[in-house]
Amino acid sequence: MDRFACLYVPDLPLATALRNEPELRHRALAIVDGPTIVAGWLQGLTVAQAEAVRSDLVVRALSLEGIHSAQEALIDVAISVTPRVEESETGTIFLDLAGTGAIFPSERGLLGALEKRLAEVGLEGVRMGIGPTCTVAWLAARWQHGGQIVSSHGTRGFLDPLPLDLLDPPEETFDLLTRWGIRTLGELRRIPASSLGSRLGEPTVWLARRARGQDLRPFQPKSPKLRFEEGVQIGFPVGDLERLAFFLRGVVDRLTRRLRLRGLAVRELLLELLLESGQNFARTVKTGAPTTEAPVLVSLLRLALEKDPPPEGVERIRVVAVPGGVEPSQLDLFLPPLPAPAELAVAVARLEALCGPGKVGAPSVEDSHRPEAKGLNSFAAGPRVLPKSAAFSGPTMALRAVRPPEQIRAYGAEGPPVKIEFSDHRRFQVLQHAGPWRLFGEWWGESCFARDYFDVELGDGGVYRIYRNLDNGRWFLDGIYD
Amino acid sequence: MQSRPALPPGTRSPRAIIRETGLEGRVHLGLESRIVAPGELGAPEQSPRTPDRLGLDTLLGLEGKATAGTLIELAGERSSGRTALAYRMAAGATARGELVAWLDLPDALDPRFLRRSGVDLNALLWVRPPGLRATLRAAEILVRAGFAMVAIDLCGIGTSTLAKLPNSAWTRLLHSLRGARATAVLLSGPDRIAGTAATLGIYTERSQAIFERDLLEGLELYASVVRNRAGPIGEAHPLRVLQRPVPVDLS
Repeated sequence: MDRFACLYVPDLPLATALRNEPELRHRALAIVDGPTIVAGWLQGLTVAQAEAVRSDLVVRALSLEGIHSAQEALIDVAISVTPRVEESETGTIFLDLAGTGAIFPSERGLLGALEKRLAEVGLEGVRMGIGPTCTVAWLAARWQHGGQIVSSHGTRGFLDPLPLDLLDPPEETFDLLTRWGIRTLGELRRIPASSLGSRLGEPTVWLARRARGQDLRPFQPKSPKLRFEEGVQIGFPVGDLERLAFFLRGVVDRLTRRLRLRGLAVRELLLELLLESGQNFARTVKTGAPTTEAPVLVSLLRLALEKDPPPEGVERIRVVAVPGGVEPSQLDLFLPPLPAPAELAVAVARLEALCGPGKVGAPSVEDSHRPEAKGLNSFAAGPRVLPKSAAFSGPTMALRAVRPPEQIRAYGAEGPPVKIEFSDHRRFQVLQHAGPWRLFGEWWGESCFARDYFDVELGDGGVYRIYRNLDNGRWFLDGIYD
Repeated sequence: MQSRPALPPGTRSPRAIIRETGLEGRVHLGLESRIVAPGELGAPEQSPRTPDRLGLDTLLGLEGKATAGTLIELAGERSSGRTALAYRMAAGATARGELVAWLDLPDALDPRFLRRSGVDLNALLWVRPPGLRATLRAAEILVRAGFAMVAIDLCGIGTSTLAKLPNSAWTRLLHSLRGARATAVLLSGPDRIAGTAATLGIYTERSQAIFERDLLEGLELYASVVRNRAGPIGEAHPLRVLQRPVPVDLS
């Protein structure tokens, strides 16, 4: 026995505006496209006319970006219940409920779960219905305030009293049928389809089939896509980074809520800004590890914008998330437990937001002839293997790197230095030294280097590693032994 | 100013030790009373090993559980071996399968030397914060995230910068460490900065640099316990920090 559910948003532009600004829920909100109100309160009037009627009217511009995002969020909610989802038209989604009984024993429970998830992604006023066909589910969602569950044997009883205009018939057909005295679906159903077809043509036959609760075409599920984007049309240019961050916070928050529904996290963010001159400004931000913490992601975006701010005011924001799953880990009987991968990912992302990109990671030794070469890998606490025998050893010498190398002056003939002068003009006698040993490499490119290295103990009590550039004779301090 | 601790029984006169070991002129006079002769170290009456006792064994990374929930400060002059000791502790932690974080404010960490010390680089998170306050904030994030050891390198940071820290900063960090059963190792110098918040304070002094056969072989140093909440202070240990690792006899 087939069962279908329908999610229906009666006024998607209004739902989008409320999704972006939930605090307007109890206000008289009108959505305008140019001078005319197209959704919300007082549709069809101009803004001036509407404000004459209601002085407390709140007006927001129609945001196609936002509508697209809201539609995607609606699909995300549907896919969180079942992978068999069909996007019929903007604001209407059908779900094939086959197999969902194992997770949701009752259809009422399923509707409750959907309502909760819709609230999580910020969608309010969505009507829902369940029926044996998509058409019945759609009518169940549209009738009154929705929430109807129509069983197979109760379909006729549900459909018959419904008004004819609920099917959205063509205006001419509706007028004609009304003049004939046909005002409900039940009255239309009683007329034989052949009679309707011969008098009013094929579209009316389709209308009659829908009045019987039949679908005109088979259910066509859509494969779930893994591209997540959220946007907002600001309506006026915003140049201040603080105000831009305010809008970013809302966009990223909605995006992360959608990802959480699918059990995913953000691995990378692509920020696209439309500037007031019509140019696009794009930045990519990578997270240290997949995360769904909106404050962390906003901090990362903000850091990226502070580093390279947009040259003009921003009129539209779009954020695209590249999703990534949090890696599972296997516990070990003989090793101490590690932090949960998700918690570790959040901590690394927070640190990256605090310290900036390229400042957090696992150190690595680069395959290079340069002693100062260093690398940074992304940090992930993967599977650990302890050494077979814990070989404890005494402490080995450490070098504290000086980055960038400090230019110094060395006194002495061509041989080892006898006195060193630091950049702050402090001079010290060389008490002991070792070296030189010569290092050269990368002779095939412009980064070619040739150096003579020395280890020196100075009169200030420090032991240093210094080198002389052979090409220009300059001396540098590049490390302190400690 | 910190008062000079009483010498443990059986300890010889600091001046006699300095004379015998040829360290005259090289050892800081203010630390005389914390030095013992190398042969006397480890005598039962000086370092009783009890589960809640912190001491110089911590430096060798042998007592992971004993240091949980503590703030250990390693202070000393430059080239006194404090970084080498912190590397050794990190190596011990990664050998136990724990995660280590290294907060590197002066950007001085060298991955080659770190690996040579025996640290598993994949188990170490290197963080280079932009400032002192960010360093402390990062330390709290790491402690809460479940890192067993968090090393905080503040060597060479100016006293004027450190003076901006509120007095409660280290106490607050210690509180977080206790809650998470983690260890923080604070590298500072030349002066100690954590004050009474440190569970264990160790001061390192270099006695000499070992140059042999035209090579820098290592450093000789003294590590002294100058602050200890869980045991006596005054214990001192002569250590050699060498270019090549030397196995330690655990018996």
